[in-house]
Amino acid sequence: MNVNFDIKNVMAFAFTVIFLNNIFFSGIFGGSSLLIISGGNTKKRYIGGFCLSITWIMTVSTMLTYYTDKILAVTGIADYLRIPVYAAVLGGIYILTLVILSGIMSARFDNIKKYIHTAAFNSAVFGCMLTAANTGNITNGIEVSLLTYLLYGILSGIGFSLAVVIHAAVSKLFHAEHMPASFRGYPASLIFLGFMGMAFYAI
Amino acid sequence: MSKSLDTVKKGLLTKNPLFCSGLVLSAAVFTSDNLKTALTTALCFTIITAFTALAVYFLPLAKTPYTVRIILYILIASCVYVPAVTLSALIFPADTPKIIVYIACICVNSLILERFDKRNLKKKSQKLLFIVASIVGFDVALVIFSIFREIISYGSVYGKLVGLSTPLPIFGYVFGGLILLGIFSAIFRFIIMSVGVNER
Repeated sequence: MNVNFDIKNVMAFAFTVIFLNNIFFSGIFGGSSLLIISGGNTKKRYIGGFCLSITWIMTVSTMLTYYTDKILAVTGIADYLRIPVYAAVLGGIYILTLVILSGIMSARFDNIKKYIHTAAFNSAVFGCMLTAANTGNITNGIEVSLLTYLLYGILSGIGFSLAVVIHAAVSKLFHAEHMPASFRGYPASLIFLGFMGMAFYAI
Repeated sequence: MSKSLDTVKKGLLTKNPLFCSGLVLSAAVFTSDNLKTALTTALCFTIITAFTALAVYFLPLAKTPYTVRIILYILIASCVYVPAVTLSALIFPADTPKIIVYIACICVNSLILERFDKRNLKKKSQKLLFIVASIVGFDVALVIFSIFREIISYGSVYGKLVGLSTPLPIFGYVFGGLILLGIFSAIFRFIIMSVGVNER
């Protein structure tokens, strides 16, 4: 996965991570969070805030994965320690995010607080950390640069945000009166996301 | 109807994690293309979620702020992950490594995050019952869904051909799994509504 940082390679890497290997459409990571955030009556500005939060959390967590993997490689029992360590790292990032937001957006903090835990604790973030670790595989002796990890985190966040925005744009239609009662809401959303996944697969 | 029965019914049927609420969606959709991996997921999910629920039941967390509580849930689940995966690798040695990333993601599953803090269930025992019913509901739904998906996609069950002449391998892909799950949840909802179990 190591990216040679000239503009062509970065563009190709971005296209691959956002479209070809989109964290939601190809790996279905973070499905529940996506449905919670973009499927209900969440206001548009909160969806934007959620996308920014999840991109920030993915970027920081993936970057920290680089360092934790290096430390874990020394221990020799990385396979056993990795998941608890990643969970602790995620917990730390969650608290850090809350502290930063309470400082810069104190007036709206109570409203946005509930979206932050959805952005921090979901399989999209955890899957991103694990995919980066598995692909980078520092623990197996293959060196991958910190910048590659960083780029992977940012692009995965953008890819997931793209899926959230696509679903949020049409999710109101799935709750319409003319929709058959059995398909209304959740089942219709799944079928739509399935067809979107097929479109992404066709790229 | 007693409150306990109502709670069980909610966990199993009207708020079924897979067919109604869309919880633990990533692991369910990715691993349900065949029965073997679905059973592996169900085993790991049951161990991780049940033991985390038990630990939460006995820990005095009522006055702990939600921010700290949620981190504790994830940490407990990630500690249970190690024995769960070890056991799973003993029972399903070929299938566990294939879906190891998805098993790890069970530690941050939305059932732990959403249902451990149900405010309308005040008693701890009611919460535990609801979680146990949800776990059973998820496992049963996943197994049924994976059997049908494997038959439709590959014409086999547990890797053995069952003689279906025209399988549709498209449903073996992730997007096919999403479409099929959407159809299944609509059918499930139709049945629930037809038999008169209240569901909004």
